[in-house]
Amino acid sequence: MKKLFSPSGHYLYLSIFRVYLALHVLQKLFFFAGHTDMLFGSNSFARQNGDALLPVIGLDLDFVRNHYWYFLVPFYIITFFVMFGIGRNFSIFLMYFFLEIFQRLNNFILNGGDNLLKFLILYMIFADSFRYLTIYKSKTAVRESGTANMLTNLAVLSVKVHLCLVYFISGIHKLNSKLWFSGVASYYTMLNERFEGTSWNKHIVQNGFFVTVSTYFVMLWEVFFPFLVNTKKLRLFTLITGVFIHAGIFIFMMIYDFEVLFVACYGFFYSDEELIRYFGKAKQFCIKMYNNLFLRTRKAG
Amino acid sequence: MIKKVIQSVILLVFSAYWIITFLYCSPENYVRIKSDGILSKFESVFYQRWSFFAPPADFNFRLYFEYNDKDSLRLTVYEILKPIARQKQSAAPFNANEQFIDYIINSSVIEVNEALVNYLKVCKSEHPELSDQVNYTEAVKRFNENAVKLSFPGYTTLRNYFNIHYNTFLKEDSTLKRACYGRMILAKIELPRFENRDSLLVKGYAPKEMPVFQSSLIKL
Repeated sequence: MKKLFSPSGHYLYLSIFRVYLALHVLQKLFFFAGHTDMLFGSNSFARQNGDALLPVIGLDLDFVRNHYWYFLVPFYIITFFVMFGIGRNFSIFLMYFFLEIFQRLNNFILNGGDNLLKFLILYMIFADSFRYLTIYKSKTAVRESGTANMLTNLAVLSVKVHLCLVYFISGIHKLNSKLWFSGVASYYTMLNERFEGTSWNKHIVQNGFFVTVSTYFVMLWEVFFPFLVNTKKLRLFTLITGVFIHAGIFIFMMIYDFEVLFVACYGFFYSDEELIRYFGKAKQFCIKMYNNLFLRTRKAG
Repeated sequence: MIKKVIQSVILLVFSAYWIITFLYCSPENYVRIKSDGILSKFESVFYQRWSFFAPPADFNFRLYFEYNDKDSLRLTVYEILKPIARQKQSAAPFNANEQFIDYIINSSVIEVNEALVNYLKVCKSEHPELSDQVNYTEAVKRFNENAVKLSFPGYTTLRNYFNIHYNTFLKEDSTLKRACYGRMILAKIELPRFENRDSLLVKGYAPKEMPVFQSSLIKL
């Protein structure tokens, strides 16, 4: 309980994550740019039913469609504010608000990554992610009150719990599915025409051993993720495996921002101190490799 | 004192949020069904679905736009989904533009298919004595009537895309100038079963197609 009110060990990663989330949203807004009318306009061919939430906050879906630029321009500006730490938690709240509106304007284009993104931004509203990577330091002293610490700690905990929940729920759904249970689901997922990322997919799935092992491995990894990632000795192995699984989906199934977003959450499973230590080790390793590979070759030459 | 109250309220809200989230994400069970009232309100704000590819589809969809002359005779047919998938694959990884169309059209197709499955369930429960084929015909008929009347989003989206397609190809395909009507036809092609996976590599492999849905005639 005492730990809940003490300063978080994730201020650096929270700042990095805030900048990442802003870039992630900006990347989405950038790709919307040429298609805004098709995606959100009142003349869009994509039709949506009325939304239950927007009228509650005094917004009519048709009104927003007719005037979507009034919402899109502030969305761009606010996202830049979040990236530079201007307006702090209030800017993140506004980014969440605009994201909600645009997700409700066209839910045909959403995937699981967009679903998780909404929750991550929601949790970031409550976190202190402005200790680093802001364009100006706050004139007021850094808040060290118990309540502020508690909110930051709960926000970090929420990100971790939500990620664990997503993998676990996905895993138990797979356990309950006949094709996953019988070890052939990788074959069908890799051949789903919409997600057939490379022309190699149909050759790769010819290997029965690969199909069986990858199906069971993914299913069990997802089910046990919450337990594995919270076991200190297995944490690194679990997360590195996760990076490989998501990289595989990225390449072979053409699902991009979704995979990057999930992997970006992994940083919260280590404290800033640990991340800096690992980064230092990785840097040393790279320098050593560079020296061995290039300098030795030059000397030999 | 006030600080303690605020902290207790935060903890209470946090705990309540996570209890409801766990319940909402859990599979259909007694407690979840009993809490339907709260969960439907929770869903309107915190909708989430995490059953990625479970179950995976063991088929691919085919969506045909058929154009007919004034006597309703078939003039020409275009398949829509395969070219979208091919464009998406060839533009990867910079395929954001192709993804928008892919997601909109395929989400609509999935919505139409799910609605049909629900209609079929209703028809079967009303007339269990009738054959599957008869119930299926009735389900498609009811869907076609209601899809237009109640403007189902998925159906309306496909219908709008049909018009865009017609106007786009009218300039390129001279046969379309004689078209007076059109219709949308949805079909499934089954992937070969895992044990027959080598058939994927056979040149000229043509999978079996099963009809899912045929819209009423649309006046152009």
